[in-house]
Amino acid sequence: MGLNRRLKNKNLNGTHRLEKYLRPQWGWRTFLSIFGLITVYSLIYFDLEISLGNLLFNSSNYLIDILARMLPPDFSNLNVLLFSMVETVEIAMMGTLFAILLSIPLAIFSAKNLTPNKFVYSTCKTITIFFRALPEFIVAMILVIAIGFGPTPGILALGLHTMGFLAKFYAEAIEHIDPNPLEALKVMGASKRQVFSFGVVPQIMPSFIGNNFYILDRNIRMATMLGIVGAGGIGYELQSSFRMFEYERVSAIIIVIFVTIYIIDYISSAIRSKLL
Amino acid sequence: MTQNPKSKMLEFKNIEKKFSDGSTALSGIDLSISEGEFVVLLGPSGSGKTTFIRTINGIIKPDRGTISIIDEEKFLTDGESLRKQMGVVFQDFNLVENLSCINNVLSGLLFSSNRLLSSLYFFSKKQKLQALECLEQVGILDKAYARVSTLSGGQKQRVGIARAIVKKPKLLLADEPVASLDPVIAHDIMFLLRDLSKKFGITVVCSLHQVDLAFEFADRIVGLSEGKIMINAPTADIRIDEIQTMYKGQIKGLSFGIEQKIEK
Ligand SMILES: Nc1ncnc2c1ncn2[C@@H]1O[C@H](COP(=O)(O)OP(=O)(O)OP(=O)(O)O)[C@@H](O)[C@H]1O
Ligand SMILES: [Mg+2]
Repeated sequence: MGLNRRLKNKNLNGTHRLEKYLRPQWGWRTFLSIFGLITVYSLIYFDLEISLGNLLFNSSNYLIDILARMLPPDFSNLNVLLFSMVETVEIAMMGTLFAILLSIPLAIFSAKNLTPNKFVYSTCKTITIFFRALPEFIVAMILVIAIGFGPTPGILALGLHTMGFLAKFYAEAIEHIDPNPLEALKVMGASKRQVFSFGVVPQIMPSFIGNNFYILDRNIRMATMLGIVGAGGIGYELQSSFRMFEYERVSAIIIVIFVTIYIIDYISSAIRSKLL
Repeated sequence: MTQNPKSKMLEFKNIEKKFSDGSTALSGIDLSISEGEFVVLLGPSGSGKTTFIRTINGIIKPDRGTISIIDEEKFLTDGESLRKQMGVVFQDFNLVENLSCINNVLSGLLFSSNRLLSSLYFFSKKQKLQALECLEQVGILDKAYARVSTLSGGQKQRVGIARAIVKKPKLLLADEPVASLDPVIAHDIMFLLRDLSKKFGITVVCSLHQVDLAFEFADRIVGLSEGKIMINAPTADIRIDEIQTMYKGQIKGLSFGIEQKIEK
């Protein structure tokens, strides 16, 4: 008993010694950040003059009114809707292909480990950032003026914008590959192109496929809106129905878009899980 | 192993290598290696083993000295023709994980393949059969179409060896080929390397950290310390105190292990 207590005391003294090493689990930085965030958002709330009360009581009446007028969905022109939905998907697919093809060389030249020199690197990087920063709606509006109504400006707008995205994704994937297999290939006498296709390509393939599907998915969603500026697809129907106050048609269009995206999502995740 | 005098395969004359930060990695390396010989490089970390192997495969150019291969005297600036004679095995395998084993083995034939077709992964039937034969020799033919990422470390190193021997090299370089493997598998892999070397008459230069494996498999042991050759003798002629001196007597457990081995 006495020995046991002595051991216990000794242990207590032992940990006592360590108390000066204790630190609080949450530092002052955390509290400061939380406080700062709350302050910023409170200021934004008052600056934008958002009125929660108005939103809850007055606006909700109008919302319920509109929702009621959207029902029941009017599918009387379903074949027109399906036709333009197919066009929408086609625009997205062409735009995505366009983006993929253009982004591959851009990505190679804007990846730090593959770029031939600084000048090419910064040129490609600038192109990438420029098109990523430029919203496709603006590109589409300009192109509709330049080329005229129809799917072509839509395809180009989506393609150019998402080219910027894909080039960034691929360049990052290329920069993060394991360099050791490349050295092995080089030592065994492979040429530059062979090192690329045997060392680089297989390593970036998962991210390549994944990002392409993500961009296709995103482009289909964006393409549904492009018709609003006259760049083809179901957005045109959506806009004209809104203009004519045909809210039953609007809800029908929303349902068609939802079902299409649901199906595409199902297909693309099935393909992705097979490939990756 | 040294019954009849064999022709010289590799000759190093006064190899010097300093790195840009001023550290001397190799100094005054004179060494010759015979055809079909299994040479193990030993030496403490930083003694220059990796640097030495990399001067042979041409990744590092020595500041001074010559490396001659098969009478054909060349500076290592001409990596191209040397690489055709050479297979390389790496500590961390350096395989392309996302490719099948057979494609990794075929990548050892890229230097002699049609550049365009091979970039699209097309190879001749003869080349594919050659790759399969090598996978059979290293004992993983059944994994030929499995992705490398699904293999264990030991299996990966077998693929690495298959890739190195598929071109039927005269010389095989291996920098710590078993450092990432457990002792049993390390032994198996060393056995395989030794076996292939003797079967096909391949000259092997292999660096190791395991003194016991060196004693078991090497024809000759070359001991490096601070970039200089301290030991260079047939395995049977090497004494423990020489090894201890080379490691500066720091690894007592390991030297005890050798004594045990030699007593047996
Ligand atoms: N790229 C480099 N730049 C500068 N110094 C280097 C470089 N590579 C190696 N060295 C130096 O050269 C010396 C030899 O290194 P090396 O890698 O050849 O040793 P090693 O025997 O292979 O060691 P280990 O057993 O740890 O693999 C070390 O002092 C190291 O710091
Ligand atoms: Mg090393």
